[in-house]
Amino acid sequence: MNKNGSIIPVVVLTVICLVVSGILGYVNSIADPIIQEAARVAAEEARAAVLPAADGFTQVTDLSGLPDDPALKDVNVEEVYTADNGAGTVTILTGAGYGGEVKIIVGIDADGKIVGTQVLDHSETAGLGARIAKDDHPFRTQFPGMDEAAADGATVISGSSVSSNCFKRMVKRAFQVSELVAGKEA
Amino acid sequence: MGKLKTLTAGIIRENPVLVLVLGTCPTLAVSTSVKNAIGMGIAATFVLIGSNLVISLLKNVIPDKVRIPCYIVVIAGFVTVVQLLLNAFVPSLYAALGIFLPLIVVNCIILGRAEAFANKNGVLDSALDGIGMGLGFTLALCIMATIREIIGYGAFFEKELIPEDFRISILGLAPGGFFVYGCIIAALNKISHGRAVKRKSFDCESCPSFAACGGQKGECAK
Amino acid sequence: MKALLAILLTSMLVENFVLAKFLAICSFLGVSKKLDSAFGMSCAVIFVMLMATAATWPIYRFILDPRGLGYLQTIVFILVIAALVQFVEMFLKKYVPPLYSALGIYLPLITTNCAVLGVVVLNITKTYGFAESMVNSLGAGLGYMLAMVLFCGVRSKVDNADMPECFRGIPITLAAASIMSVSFMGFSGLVTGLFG
Repeated sequence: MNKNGSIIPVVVLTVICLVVSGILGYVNSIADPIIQEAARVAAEEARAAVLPAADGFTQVTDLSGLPDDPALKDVNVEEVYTADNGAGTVTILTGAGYGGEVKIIVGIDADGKIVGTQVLDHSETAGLGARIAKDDHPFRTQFPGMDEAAADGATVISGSSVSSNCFKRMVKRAFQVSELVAGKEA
Repeated sequence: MGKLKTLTAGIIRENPVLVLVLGTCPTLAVSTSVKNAIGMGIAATFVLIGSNLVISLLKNVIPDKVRIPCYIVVIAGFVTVVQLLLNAFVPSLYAALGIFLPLIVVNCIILGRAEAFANKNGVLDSALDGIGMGLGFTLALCIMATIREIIGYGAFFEKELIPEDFRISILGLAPGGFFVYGCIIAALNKISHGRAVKRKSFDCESCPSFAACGGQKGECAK
Repeated sequence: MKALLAILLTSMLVENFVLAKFLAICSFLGVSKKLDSAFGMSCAVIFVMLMATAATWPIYRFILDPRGLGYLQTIVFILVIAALVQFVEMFLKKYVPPLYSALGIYLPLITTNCAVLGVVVLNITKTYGFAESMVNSLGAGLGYMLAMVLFCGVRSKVDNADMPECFRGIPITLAAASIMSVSFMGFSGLVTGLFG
């Protein structure tokens, strides 16, 4: 049989593709549930970290009526959750930082005060803008307990004003979201 | 002993990263921390051994015409398996390796060894070659990562050692990768009196795509 | 429109595929000696990147993802790229010989070029739409060309310079690349600065 003809090579390639795909399908069926579960748990943990008083969360999808704020045009609200026991709102937002997109999660309680913040993703410069991601940095530790007015006046990190202001804009947007959600629930 | 020589060739004498200058992309990108370097090394070694084994087993079955596509499918299969398992069981490493995990498929080392060794040698030899090259790759990656992590981030294995003011953080960034890599090869040159890096000339034989173009297209590196 | 321009500038300058993301290094070090080869290779890379994106994005979006076969992405993409390169080579050889003699020789090298597989995978990871993916690939290719052509100039000076013997060849090339990488770092903040 001429191994270098046209049919045999294609057949061999096809068989190898099918076998490999089959093996992958099997491995995927084992791995996928674990991956999905881990993602679910991680998201829940992030929410609980910024709003520990909540017992459970429900996602809010209706954000109609959110004011159009030209100063916050780079901020996108990704996901909003409200605590089942009325403890407050958790918002995930993205905004334009210095090196790229910054993603944060903010927990605001029913009194309109920040409970916690976390930086989920960023590409800021290491040692400069990346300091906003340090949970123990004075920039971040000033936020819990602040209401909207106080947060507007929060001190930025010198040398990283773009990153810090991006964070502040997202926090402001989170306040707007939390007010909207509180208004709808009332 | 032929077998021992096969195994150790990839570690020092023909180290894929430092001597053959292959697999440069992950070397530069993943050498920012020793933990990631070891992770990448293990992932690549797994793929290397696996694909070397399978390709050696199938070398008489795969027709010459579809040789490269078949190798690619086999290698991609192993890489995907590693991707899935890491994502499920070691997600932190999966996130740290990022795009370089799927890029193991086009890692010159793996396709190069499949072409240069596995399709001409027996199963055991191919496996040993895979282990040797994989170890060499991991070793080189770790050397670079150690330097970059300690001086650039002041840490080793993510344990902080040097205070922030004394770090040379650029070594942890992109330019630092290039520079440290260059310095290591220069050091190797010095130590081996020019014998080590065979003035890697990017000519036809040393190019991983030699298989694909058959060397007639010698134009590209002139 | 602004968003697309921002993506183009980001993938071309701010996150240059060669100098910031460490993709396509083997070809960067190997083919940047002569200006003709550098330019020719870059053109071929841009071409393949655009075609690969045009092919792989719909495949993922309409065939793999809806069926939950996302994990086959790596295999399918690399096969598509390999097949594409093969077809393009045959096509050029037969129908556009002048283009073939300019670009054709680089095409087999591009199958294993990390930047091509890298950009198509990144488009999916960043969940870009079709237009955004094409623009991202264009930016990546242009960034590659920029890095290659600039580096060609640098190398011609460096290779003739005086240096310790142990640095000659690859080491000094890498050191030069590192300095170029520093200069490209100056672009960070460009996109935010331009687009607010």
